[in-house]
Amino acid sequence: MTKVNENTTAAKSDSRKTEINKALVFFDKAGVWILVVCLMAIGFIINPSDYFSVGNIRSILQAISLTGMCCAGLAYIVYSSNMNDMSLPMTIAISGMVSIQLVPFGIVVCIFGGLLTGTLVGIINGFMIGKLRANPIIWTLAFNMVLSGIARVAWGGSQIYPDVVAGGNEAALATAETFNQLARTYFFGGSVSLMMVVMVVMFIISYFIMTHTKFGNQLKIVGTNYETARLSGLNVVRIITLSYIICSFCASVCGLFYASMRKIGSYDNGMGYDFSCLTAVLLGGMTLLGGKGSMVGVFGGVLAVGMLNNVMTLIGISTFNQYLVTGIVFLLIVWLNTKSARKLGRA
Amino acid sequence: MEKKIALQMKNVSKRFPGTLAVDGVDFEVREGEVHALMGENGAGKSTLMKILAGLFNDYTGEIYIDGNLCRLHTPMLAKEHGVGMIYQELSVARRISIVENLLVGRLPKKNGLFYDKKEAIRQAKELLERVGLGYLDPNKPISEISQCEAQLVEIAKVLGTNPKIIVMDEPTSALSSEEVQRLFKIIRNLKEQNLAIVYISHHLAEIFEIADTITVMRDGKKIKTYPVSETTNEQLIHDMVGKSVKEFYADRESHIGETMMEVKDFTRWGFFHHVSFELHRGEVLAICGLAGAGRTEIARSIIGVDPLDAGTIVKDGREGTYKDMTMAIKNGIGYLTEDRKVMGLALTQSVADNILVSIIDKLSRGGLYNPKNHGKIVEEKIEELEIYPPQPNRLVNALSGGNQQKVLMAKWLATDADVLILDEPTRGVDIGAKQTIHKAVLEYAKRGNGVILLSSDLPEVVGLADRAIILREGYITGEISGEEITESSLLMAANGEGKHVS
Repeated sequence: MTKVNENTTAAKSDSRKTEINKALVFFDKAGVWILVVCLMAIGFIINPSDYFSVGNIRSILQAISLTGMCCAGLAYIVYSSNMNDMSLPMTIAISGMVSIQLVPFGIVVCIFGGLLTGTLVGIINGFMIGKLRANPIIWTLAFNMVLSGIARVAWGGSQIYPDVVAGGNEAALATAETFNQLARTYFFGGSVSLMMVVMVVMFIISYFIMTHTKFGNQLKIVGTNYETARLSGLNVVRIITLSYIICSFCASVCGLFYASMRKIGSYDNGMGYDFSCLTAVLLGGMTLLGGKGSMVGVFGGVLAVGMLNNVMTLIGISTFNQYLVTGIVFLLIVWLNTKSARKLGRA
Repeated sequence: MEKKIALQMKNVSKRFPGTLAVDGVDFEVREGEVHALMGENGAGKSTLMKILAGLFNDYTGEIYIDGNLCRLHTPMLAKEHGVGMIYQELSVARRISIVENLLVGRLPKKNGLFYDKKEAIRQAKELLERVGLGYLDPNKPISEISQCEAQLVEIAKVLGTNPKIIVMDEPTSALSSEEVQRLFKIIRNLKEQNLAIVYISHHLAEIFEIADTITVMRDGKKIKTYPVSETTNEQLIHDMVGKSVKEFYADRESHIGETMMEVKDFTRWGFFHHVSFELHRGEVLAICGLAGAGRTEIARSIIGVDPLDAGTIVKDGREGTYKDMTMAIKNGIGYLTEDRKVMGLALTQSVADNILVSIIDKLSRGGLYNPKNHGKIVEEKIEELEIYPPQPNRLVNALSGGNQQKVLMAKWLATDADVLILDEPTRGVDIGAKQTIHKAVLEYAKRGNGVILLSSDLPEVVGLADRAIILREGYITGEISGEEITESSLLMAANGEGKHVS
């Protein structure tokens, strides 16, 4: 606080209390990172010998990198108070399929084709929701179905494989191999994968966009109160459209790695990502009402989900029961979310 | 004869994170009494009444209704104990019929299963009769009746729960003066039925007309309670503000320059027709009229948010209309919206974010923008408008209503618009904030800018305006300027009477 402000405060001699509970502020700021530390402690207690080993840390990071890429984009949608992008699964699937289909044309065309297809989904979503104000959930859910229909018709209902698409062509086979290696590229003697690097870079860029650009700061207001933003002269259509484009772009990056990892272009690539990503984003401190939270928190949320799964595996909870736990965590978060929103007087 | 005490609150407190909103208040209301609760915004009167309505389960202190100790921890409990609340914002559902609104939650049933429509209509008619709306068809949806009638339906709805105590929070804020009289008649009627009425309002004149007893609150504490006959305007304001207000509206000189903006033949069918006016540099132009005369609609069409059927705006040598707010701001027009919570502020963001929102475009360099670099502008505005507490990072919803309104004003002063349209710039704010905002408006006009003031607060119009145009049912019906602007001349003209109507 500057000197000027202190003086005016003194002059006012208002008796109303203005301090805010420090502990509350700490919990609000630290948010999900407290959970991350707790999970870390639990993991260490269960498995003190190699919880902090390079191998285990790498397996956590590797497991979250696909979700993480999606979350770095989905965060924009949640932040803009459009709740969720239900077309994430098909964006992931279709961008992977298109890029595999483009394998014969070389790796550059293959990657850009995939990214472009995904981004196109975002442009259409953005136009419908930003410009025409379609209901974001209904629209993206319906569009997801349309996309899955298109994919099934276009590929006759079958999955596609990079090496099959390449056929007998030597150059194309090499491209297919490069494509398959995308998700299998490691640095530093296998301790860091390309996927992790891409995910972290996407989070850093997203953090920068959210805090240091015109778009990010305007998005904050749009997410908090659409009417206010519109009546303050912000170009709300452009801002919302842009956030959908970013989201779908991130999803298509995820789609490329997904397809590369499975070596398959299929409709069920990315299945369930709509909700698992939303869980991580909300766990990271964003709210369904928008305008709250940060990329640092979302990264924590992604990490927490990964660590939760890791801990469950370490304990030996079966996959089916893991679904149950993840589902309960999701419900718990939604409840906490609405509760805090009510406390803020917004619901 | 001393009437029975209907409600007694003893040493009631309620703490919010960071503030003690209500601090050990004792409050009594007798049967058949209209008890006015007064105070600046943030004084704690709304919180006190929310406690009574059962919205908080963590208040301390004791509440007695009819001598019985009650724990009002949920709205249901409060209702059962006979507390009826009428809020500032209407709580009736606009799309469903009057009868369903009136009997919400207790629609009469037939054979224990089916909705008994005949009985419902009968009960609805009875309730409407009590508030003087016997002529209304209970099957009409709320959206088809006027604001005033909706307000009365709201009262009827509360009466349906057989309350002993009725709390009215600013019931007149959306009503014209004729309608206020109608409401008062009904309040007097209720008084005779031995109901205890708590009346919250910022309009001193209303208080003196309707109230029997006045309690003044300040900073969460009760200051004084006195019968209305034993107090005066000055005394009341003094107790509310805590300092004596000598003259609310200081004399001022206006320096009116050349025409800077011209609105030509503005028409949106059904809302306003052939509206034309000029705005000069340094001028405060008021557009007056009863509620529903089309003031807000004109403003929203000027800035391009609502459609327009015909007409143009001439400003800075350019003739045309604006397609959205972005374009209006680029052309130097700002619009301070009427409802700060719904469309004015981003409540859960900081003061700084709210002040800077309209100038992000201007401050950004090549798409980059960091709010931390523009703290100076924010601090300047906080100081200029005396926003309290002066913390740029405080969330706006942690400020009192008056300070929120100042933030909204600061936001528009931060843009370099040379025309500001102010739509109810001081609705529902305390006297201190009102003064600060008025000072800022006059300063702004003095710098050679134009102000279009849309306000239903007549003293405000009288105090600020250089010229007033009168709007009635969407048509300009007259103009009053300079010294001739008085509360009575404005009222007469707005009602279509007097010498200023052409």
